[in-house]
Amino acid sequence: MHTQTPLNTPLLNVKNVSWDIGNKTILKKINLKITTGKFVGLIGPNGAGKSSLLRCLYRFNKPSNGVVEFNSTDIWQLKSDEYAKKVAVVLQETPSQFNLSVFDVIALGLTPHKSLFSSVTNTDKQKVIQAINTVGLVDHSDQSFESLSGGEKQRALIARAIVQQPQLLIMDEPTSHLDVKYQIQVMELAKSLGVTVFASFHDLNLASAMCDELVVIKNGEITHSGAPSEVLTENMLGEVFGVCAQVNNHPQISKSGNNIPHITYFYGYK
Amino acid sequence: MVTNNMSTVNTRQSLALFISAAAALFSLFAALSFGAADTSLQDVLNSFLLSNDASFNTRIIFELRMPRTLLAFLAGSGLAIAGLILQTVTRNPLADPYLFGISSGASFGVVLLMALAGISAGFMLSAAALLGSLLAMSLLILIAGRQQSAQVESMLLAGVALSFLFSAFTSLLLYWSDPQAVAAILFWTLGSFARAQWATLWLPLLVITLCTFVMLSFRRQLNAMLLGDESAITLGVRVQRFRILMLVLSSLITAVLVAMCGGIGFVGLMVPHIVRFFISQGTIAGLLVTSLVGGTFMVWVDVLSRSLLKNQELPVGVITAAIGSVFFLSLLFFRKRRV
Repeated sequence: MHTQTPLNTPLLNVKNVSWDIGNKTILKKINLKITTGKFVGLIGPNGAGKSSLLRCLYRFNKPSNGVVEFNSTDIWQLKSDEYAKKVAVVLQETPSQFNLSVFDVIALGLTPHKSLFSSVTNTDKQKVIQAINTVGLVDHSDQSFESLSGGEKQRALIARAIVQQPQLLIMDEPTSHLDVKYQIQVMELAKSLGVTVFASFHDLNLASAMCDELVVIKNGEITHSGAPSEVLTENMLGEVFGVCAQVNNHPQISKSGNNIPHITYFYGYK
Repeated sequence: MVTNNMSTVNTRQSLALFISAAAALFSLFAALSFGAADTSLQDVLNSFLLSNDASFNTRIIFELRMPRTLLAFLAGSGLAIAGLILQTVTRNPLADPYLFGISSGASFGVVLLMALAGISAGFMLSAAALLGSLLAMSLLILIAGRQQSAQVESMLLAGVALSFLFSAFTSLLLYWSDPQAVAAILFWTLGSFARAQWATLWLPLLVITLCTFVMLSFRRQLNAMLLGDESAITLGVRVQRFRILMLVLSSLITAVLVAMCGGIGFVGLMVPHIVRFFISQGTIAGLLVTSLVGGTFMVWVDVLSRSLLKNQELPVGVITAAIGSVFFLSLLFFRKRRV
């Protein structure tokens, strides 16, 4: 969003990353590159390691082996607030029974940018208000965060990420429990920000329509990656997801003029 | 439109801050006129305004009531803010300074001193209480600080376990003590501000002011914790270390207060919840209002404890628990859902 990175070096470079918990290996030698400006989707069946992989990228999990590089720097060499200025994360709904207003939650995006004793300046306030406008929560800003609907909460968390001014936005199934309308709305909102996005998806058709690139993970290993039309094949769906499906073209074409693969599932097969 | 909304939020916050500050100042002043000796607000005013007034009332007000009222205020605000911080970092609405075994540690220290040395009053008692609660705090941090995952759970469970452990030792010592010591320790556990003196007031003042200042400066990190550890990490908060730091600060406040005024339960649990009914806790105003309301509440509790019964003092802990729980229950019963 801010600094220009040379196009040939990836923004995020995952090199040989393994992660195990106890004796169990969850991620096996993951290699992955995310280029600036792309909207990359991560798909895979339940328990494949999607969340574990994303957690390695936002420093919740420390890889047992391998490195994650951001702009060619190992992310564990950076200070925690330095990294938070570059990478923002939207997680699945986080319940909280405390009385924080929507404005307070969105203003949390300022946290990594502010030193301990500094107060909120007018510029900061403008940033927060602008983010509230962007996600369309103008009428809700002084409500309590808890009183929002699921879709509104996710939009508020995206607004928080906007205030964070990141170069990369990571999202872990941000829409998995939302109604169809809000699934589309939240994802289109993320896409409209113009920032590099790496998001895991539950809905493969939504992933197909939104992403420039898809990465498929199964049993902790990356099995496929590439443009949606290359990745979303009937073979892959059978192999990785264990479903019988037909892949056609969606009646719409994407903004860049490519076909959007559309999956139709068949039932009664095992 | 947003700006309008924001200004109503800000007005509400500033209003709450103004009201609670005004109430606190008034209470500190008004509380000085209550007590065994018959004094009026006019007497209080006189003793402030007439610098050479050496009347009996003036001496009562300056040497007995003022340190006591100030200590009550400090205790209330300290416990309230410690409770708020602990509820925030553990995301547990039931967390309060006493849940973590700090006060059981203090009781243990006091009982041990009484049993071993036969001392039943004075500065040594406070010192023993302080040492006891610091011991409990260190044990807790030793256990919780090592945990990399599930830190909150181990902190809460270890706190409860430590609390029972120290209570067991205390009971054992009491079992072997004479009835007089048992009565003394009972009175001590129920809490009182009767031991307040100008000479010792600096310690709670210093500790509470410093800890509150640090907590205020970490308010963004505190808010970030409310949405979960994972979310806080993504905002650049070093969750494990931060939680231990906050635990140390709230334990210090509690330890000093327990040492000086005995066990005063329920304020740390209740006041943050009461304030949360009215304003968002996520701002400086929210934190300050919590501490002011806690202090004001305690000042009036102390007034009640001095004046409810003629020639006798009721234990503070009894009153906080009684008033507090009734008020809290009615608030729960009557509150409107915030939209």
